[in-house]
Amino acid sequence: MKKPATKKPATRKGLDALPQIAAPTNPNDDNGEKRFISQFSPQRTAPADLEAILVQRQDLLTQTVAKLRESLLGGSKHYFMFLGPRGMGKTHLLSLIAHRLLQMPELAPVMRLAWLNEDETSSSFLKLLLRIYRDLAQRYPSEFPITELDAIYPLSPDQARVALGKVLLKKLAGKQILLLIENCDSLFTQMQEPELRNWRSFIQTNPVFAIAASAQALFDGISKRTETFFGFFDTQALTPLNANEARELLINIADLNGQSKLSEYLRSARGKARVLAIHHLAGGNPRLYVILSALITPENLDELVRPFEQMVDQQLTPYYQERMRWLSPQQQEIVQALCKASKPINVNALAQVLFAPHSSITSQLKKLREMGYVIGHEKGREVLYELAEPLMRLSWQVKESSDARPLALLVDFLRIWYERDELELNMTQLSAEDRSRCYLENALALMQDGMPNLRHEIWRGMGENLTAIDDDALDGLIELAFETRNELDIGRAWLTSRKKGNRSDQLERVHRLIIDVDKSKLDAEPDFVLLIAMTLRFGEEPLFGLLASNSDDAFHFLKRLTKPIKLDEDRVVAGTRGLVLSSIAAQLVRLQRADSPLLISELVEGFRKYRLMNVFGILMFGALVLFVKKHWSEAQLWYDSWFEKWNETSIFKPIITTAIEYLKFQDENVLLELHLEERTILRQILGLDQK
Amino acid sequence: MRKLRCNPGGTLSPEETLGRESFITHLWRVLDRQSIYINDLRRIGKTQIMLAMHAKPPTQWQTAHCDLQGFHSADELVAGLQEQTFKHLDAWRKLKRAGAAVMDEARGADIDGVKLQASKSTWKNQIQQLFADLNASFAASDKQGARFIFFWDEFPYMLDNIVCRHGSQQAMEILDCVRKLEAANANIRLVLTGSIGLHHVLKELQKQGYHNSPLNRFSHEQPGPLPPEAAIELAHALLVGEQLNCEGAEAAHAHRIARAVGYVGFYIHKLVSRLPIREAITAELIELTLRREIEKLDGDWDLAHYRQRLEKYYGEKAALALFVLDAVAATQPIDFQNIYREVSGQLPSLSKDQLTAVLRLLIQDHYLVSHEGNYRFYLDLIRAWWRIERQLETPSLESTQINVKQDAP
Repeated sequence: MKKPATKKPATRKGLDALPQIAAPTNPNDDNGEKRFISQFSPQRTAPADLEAILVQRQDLLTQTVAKLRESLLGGSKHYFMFLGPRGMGKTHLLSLIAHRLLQMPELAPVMRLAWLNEDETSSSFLKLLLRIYRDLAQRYPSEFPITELDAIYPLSPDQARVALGKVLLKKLAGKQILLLIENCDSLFTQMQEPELRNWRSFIQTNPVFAIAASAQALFDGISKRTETFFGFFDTQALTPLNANEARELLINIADLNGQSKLSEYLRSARGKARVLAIHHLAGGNPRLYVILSALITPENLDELVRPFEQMVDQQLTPYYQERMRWLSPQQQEIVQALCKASKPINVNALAQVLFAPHSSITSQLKKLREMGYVIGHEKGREVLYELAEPLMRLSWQVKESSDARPLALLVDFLRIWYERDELELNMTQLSAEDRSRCYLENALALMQDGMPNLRHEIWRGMGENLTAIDDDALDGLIELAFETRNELDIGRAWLTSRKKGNRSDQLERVHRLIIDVDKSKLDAEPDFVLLIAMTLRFGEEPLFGLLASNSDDAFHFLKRLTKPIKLDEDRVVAGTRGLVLSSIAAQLVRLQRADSPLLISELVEGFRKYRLMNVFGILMFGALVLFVKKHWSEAQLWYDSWFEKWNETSIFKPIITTAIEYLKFQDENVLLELHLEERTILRQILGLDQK
Repeated sequence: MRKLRCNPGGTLSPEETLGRESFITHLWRVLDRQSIYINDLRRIGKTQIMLAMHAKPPTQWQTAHCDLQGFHSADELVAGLQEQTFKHLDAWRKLKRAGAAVMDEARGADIDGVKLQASKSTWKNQIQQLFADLNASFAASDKQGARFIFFWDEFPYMLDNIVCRHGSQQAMEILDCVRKLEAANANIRLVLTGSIGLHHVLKELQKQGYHNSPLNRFSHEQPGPLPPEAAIELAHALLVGEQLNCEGAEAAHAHRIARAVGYVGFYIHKLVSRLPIREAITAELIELTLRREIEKLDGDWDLAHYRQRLEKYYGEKAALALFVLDAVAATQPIDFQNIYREVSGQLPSLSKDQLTAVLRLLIQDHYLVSHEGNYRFYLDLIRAWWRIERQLETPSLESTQINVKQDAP
């Protein structure tokens, strides 16, 4: 992990002319001093601070800088185009490229920086040249006197273009220009083809530019073979942050600000789970996490709801308004319509609600896709559209629901993320006036008995394949065990740590946990129950090895096993009941036997009787992993036999039903019956993203 | 082992332009007797060849490289050329040119009661004079066999600019003028090329009544992909230069990469640049990466262009061209008779003359090449995409082969 950077802002030769804003203080800090990290204009943040918080893109930055350095010193020329929606970190990257190159002493005599920001554009090459010259004149006034332009203005545009080109080359006197262009796609939109040819001709005839540009998405001007600049740029798509990278960003910012408590919390299992929760809904746009970083503390992050509320109320609305500002009126209408839609919708539906021609909606959707606002999914002959970031929908709902009604998406999120008891506990900690109560109440109202905790299930899913488990997944299992303190999770973490055996610290953590767990609870259990349960759950162990040699034998053994274990006895605590029941059911899952309705019936009754339907739900959900490689009919048969007994309404039923449909048709389109956040979970379980 | 960094689309230094040595030697030999028109697909490396030649001309030859797409009139062209060639004139002609420039500036002025002629000399006169001066300078040189070479890049784009701004007539006049200048000046050679084929511009001009053949004295040259061994060397140098994790299999991967993209330098740079830095590079990863890139609907390889332009290029013959390409993509190399058998199954009224005509056009537009009576795709990268796009049997991209020997189109 990166160490906090120095508090002294780095000097930036050539960047001094750019506006600098003093760092404000923040009362929430551990040490009372907070660095200025601009949420919308990263170039106004001190470069050393940008370096300190950089995540994911270290390799890209290093390589780009090396190649641009080569361009500025040698004969070859590199032209980069970084692609990503707004807030994806393009300006952050360009700032660091400029910063690193400006720090290289060997470049000082040969490189001059021109940085064209995103707020201005040019409709001709002449105007582009003027912008370049003016920027150089501002940074290096003695080398590029602004008065040189006086002789240019009286000329005709063609004459001025030629004359200004000559002036620029003369003043450069053999030096090279590092040209940074933001929002380059708008430049291509503004310039007609003859002007683009003028630009390209100048670059080809006068190799004095090394270029790093950015755009919201790949655009025709550089990607179509018929266009002047086809294949000219080395395009680099900036990818969204994954959950770990988002957490790393938050930790980096906390470290930079000296917020040691927050940093520590973010590194903990619970902190990781919280960021995972937010990422699940918010996606991986770095700007969102920079915004969030200004609001969170260990306390409110633990609550989760409050920072979400704050973020949505105070920060995201302006953030999305800023994003909407870049859209045409019709594009804004489309985005709003998608905010209101209950699931992905097609062009016809959009055209209908907006009273607009089909063709114009199609054309605008194409642009919105290119800009990263909208994603489309092909389903047969039609394409279904939805917003790329679910949180955009949430933000819109906040703006629209001034009566503070619960936000459907947030409620949904809470509903699937927490267990009932967790929600109830959270409720007790809130005052009656607290606005967050309404979210929790609604989430609770929508919850059914036995609602599983998805956060835990995702961790458990990561640990399903013990032979291929990696360090991250094992860390997840250990954190899960710490969080739930459930014997099954502890047992899983323990067995997995032993199996991996290459990181003693992980095993030690589990041992510590076992000691920490209520001793009386473990003492009360007959060892053999725990042993059998764990052995059954983790089929690689010797006992199951014997059983698994014959599926029928194993099955009959399981049937017998249900009898001698006296689940009703007082000495058997609830956790062990769940352990035993789920172990048996898990083995049925593993054997994928559905030919004993009686046993299934007994098991379901057991789960219900001991109010362990949440464990049962998790098992049903987890069984999907085992069916991924199987024929759909087996899955259908198996689930039918369980669903016959398991008649409670559950959010998992639609997900499981959709999963079976997927197994049946092997067509990702069927997933479009679910919302993005539900699809994300299902895709993880089905391993679709790995494919 | 040589190390290079990926630079898809950028300007390569002459030292980084690998595998063109023998082709460049061939071009110098041709230039000794006539001018050259280089035509090939975009991104095949035409400009890089020009720049490499311009950087290292034979002793006693001088060169000037100019990208013409920034010119929008004959006057701009002449002004640009005058500025560029001034340093190549001998002392006497430099003086003469300077004097003419002063006179041009003074046109219409009244000097001691003498009214100077008001009209400037026309662009045609100026360019003829420019060529004549340059030619005479080199004829007067005591260097045996001295030549002056103009490398004119993006010549068709300039003509297109001129048509847009001044109409077809001026573009036609430039074409005729270029032909005359090339014929009349024995010590000057031209090398013309561009992103689009000149025949597209000529086709438009023919609609306006232009029927000359301005480049019929030019040798028509097609660089094609790199020689396989050079392409493999390039891929190897990039894998090493980018420090990709090949686990000792650089040579095998270089071979695989070069072959998969049909030995085209640009695509080698592009494919290597798309390989992940931290993952172990495997044959499967290379194939997967390439497939993902070329199949992407919103990607920047734009191989779909070769399908989409059929209607524009071939009009009512588009369907025929499509079926021919399907037949060749499915089974190459394939001879005329087999193509005819395959395609006439789809188009029963097809005549052999019609098929011959379309095959000729497909070769001219760089879809196909023919060798000893057999036809195959010019670039196997396009063939691989075609098979995916047209849902023909999908081959492993690795299994694609390219035959760089070909008959002249």
